[in-house]
Amino acid sequence: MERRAFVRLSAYTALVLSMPLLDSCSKPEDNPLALPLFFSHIADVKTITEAGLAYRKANHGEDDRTVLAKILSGNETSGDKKAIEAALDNRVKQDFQTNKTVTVSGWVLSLTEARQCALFSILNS
Amino acid sequence: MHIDAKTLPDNTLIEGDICIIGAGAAGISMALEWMNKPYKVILLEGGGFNYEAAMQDLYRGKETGQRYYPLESARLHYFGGTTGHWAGFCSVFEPIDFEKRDWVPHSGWPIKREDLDPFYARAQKNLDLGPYEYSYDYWVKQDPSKVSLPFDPEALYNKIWQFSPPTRFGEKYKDSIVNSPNIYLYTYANVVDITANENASAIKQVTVKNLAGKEHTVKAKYFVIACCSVQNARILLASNKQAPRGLGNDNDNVGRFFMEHLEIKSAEMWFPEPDLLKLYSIEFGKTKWRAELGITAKKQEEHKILNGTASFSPLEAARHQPAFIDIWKSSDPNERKKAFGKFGEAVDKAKNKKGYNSYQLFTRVEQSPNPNSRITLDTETDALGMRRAMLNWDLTPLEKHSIRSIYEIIGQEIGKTSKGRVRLMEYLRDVNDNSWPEFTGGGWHHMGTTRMGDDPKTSVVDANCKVHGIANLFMAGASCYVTAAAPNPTLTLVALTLRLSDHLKKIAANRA
Repeated sequence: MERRAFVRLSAYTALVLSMPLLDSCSKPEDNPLALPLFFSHIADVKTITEAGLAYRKANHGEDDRTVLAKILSGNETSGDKKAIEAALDNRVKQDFQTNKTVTVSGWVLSLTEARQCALFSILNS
Repeated sequence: MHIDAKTLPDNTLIEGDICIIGAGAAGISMALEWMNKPYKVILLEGGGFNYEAAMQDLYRGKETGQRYYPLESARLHYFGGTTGHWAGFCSVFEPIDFEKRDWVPHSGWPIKREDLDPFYARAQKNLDLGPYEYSYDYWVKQDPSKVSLPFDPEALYNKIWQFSPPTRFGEKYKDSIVNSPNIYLYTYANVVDITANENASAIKQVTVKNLAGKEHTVKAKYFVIACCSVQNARILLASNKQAPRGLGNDNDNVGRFFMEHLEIKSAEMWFPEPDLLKLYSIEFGKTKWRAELGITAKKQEEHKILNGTASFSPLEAARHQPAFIDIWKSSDPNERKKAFGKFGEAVDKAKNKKGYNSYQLFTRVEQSPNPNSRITLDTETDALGMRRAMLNWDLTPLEKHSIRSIYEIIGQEIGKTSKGRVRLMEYLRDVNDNSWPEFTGGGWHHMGTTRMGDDPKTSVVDANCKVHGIANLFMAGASCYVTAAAPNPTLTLVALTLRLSDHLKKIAANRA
């Protein structure tokens, strides 16, 4: 992964997260469900997409935008971008605590952030 | 006292109380213990005091199985032995390394870590190390700036390494040995045969030769073979006049269970913020101690894995570092310097005082004891007429499973703390793939081949390093290891030798 690409994505992420959440966001970076927050500070678009594709390949039942969005939304129905982001961040941490981890494209990720990568890759295709 | 065996009249008879065969870390450590004692000690060294290509060629052999370094590159054949090119990495075996682990076939020593503790403390001095302390809690008090990565201590721990200068035994101990009135060092005295009595229950004498065409006989009350794991097995196997399968080899164990440490790049760790990871860094020649990430005994048992550790190198530098298996091809010290020089250049290229966002994780993991990983004799002979050694280096799926699991565990632990993420290298990603990548290598650590155990059917030496069934023959060094643990072998082999030395002193005193 190129360091420059990672910096670009992080900056873009910060910009996007300061904007209100729109259901009709066309870019995956705009959708907190599809943006693994911590991982996006490390990984560039290509890396996130690769991880997402690997997850989808290994989990055909979840290879669907609607299915993934539903799983990732969980009980968070407010539509508030910050709230969704915080809820997902908590779930990522909880996943690690409870050993709900997966290895995708070599990355040891929380199940939640792997699903976020998967949604990211669908929206980015 | 020093005698060049090339200058002696042919067929000289040399006699002493104890004959130590090999003057490397083990042989010299033992000889030092017997200085100024009322015993005549014969110390036999095959080479001279310096590197010589012709002497080194006596160590040449063949390799089959997993790709390995040329045998003559990994060991040095002159006074001081392989300490002439070792890097000085020292750490202790953990208690679990001595235990029988049901998930590690052929594991379990007849001694425990606590049996070695007093000898570890003494070995520290031979190797110019610091205090016998290997806990992070102790060392961080010496330098609080060496901060640990955050992790669950139930899963990971900071495995401490101390660094010898590195002590070159040939340089440091030559004067002591040569000036000792009761140590008789014979250089250019290569043991080519050991003669036992008729029923092979005791050793009568050894035959030594050199390239000057001289042959001599050495008689002693006790014989200690301290020539490294490959040569220890080779000498026993080649000494087959009284025992057709080789001395100590009635049960076909000599040469088997050859072990290395797999030393291989395995994963990456990425951080959102740059970090120097000072605790885990090393500057060769300057750093006195550092940590690697170790896996706790509890996690090893839970995941059924071998013991191994992970060290860190800035990824930017590590990407420029060729694999050891591609560059450690020569025993010539000048060639060796060139190979290591490339790593320094790579580190310099990546200099960044603020730290790094990414590190390569490099594994050092024990090899599972494996009877098919073994030393045998070739039909080809060396310049002294002795059959050359052949190595079949054989790995099992357990090594790969262990490396993969180690990084999954580290990945989970580092994920828990939101410090970073871990990425496994391509060759570890498919759980069904047991093949090894081209860059797979060892650490130039040779262990096993005359393993220790209580049962002669499954081992070569007993808990005191005496060859089963032979009253006065002992093995010194890493060839006695039952398992390899994660640490580099030198500290433990010196400790084990000091323990053997104390045992021999008791026997000699009782006999007197």
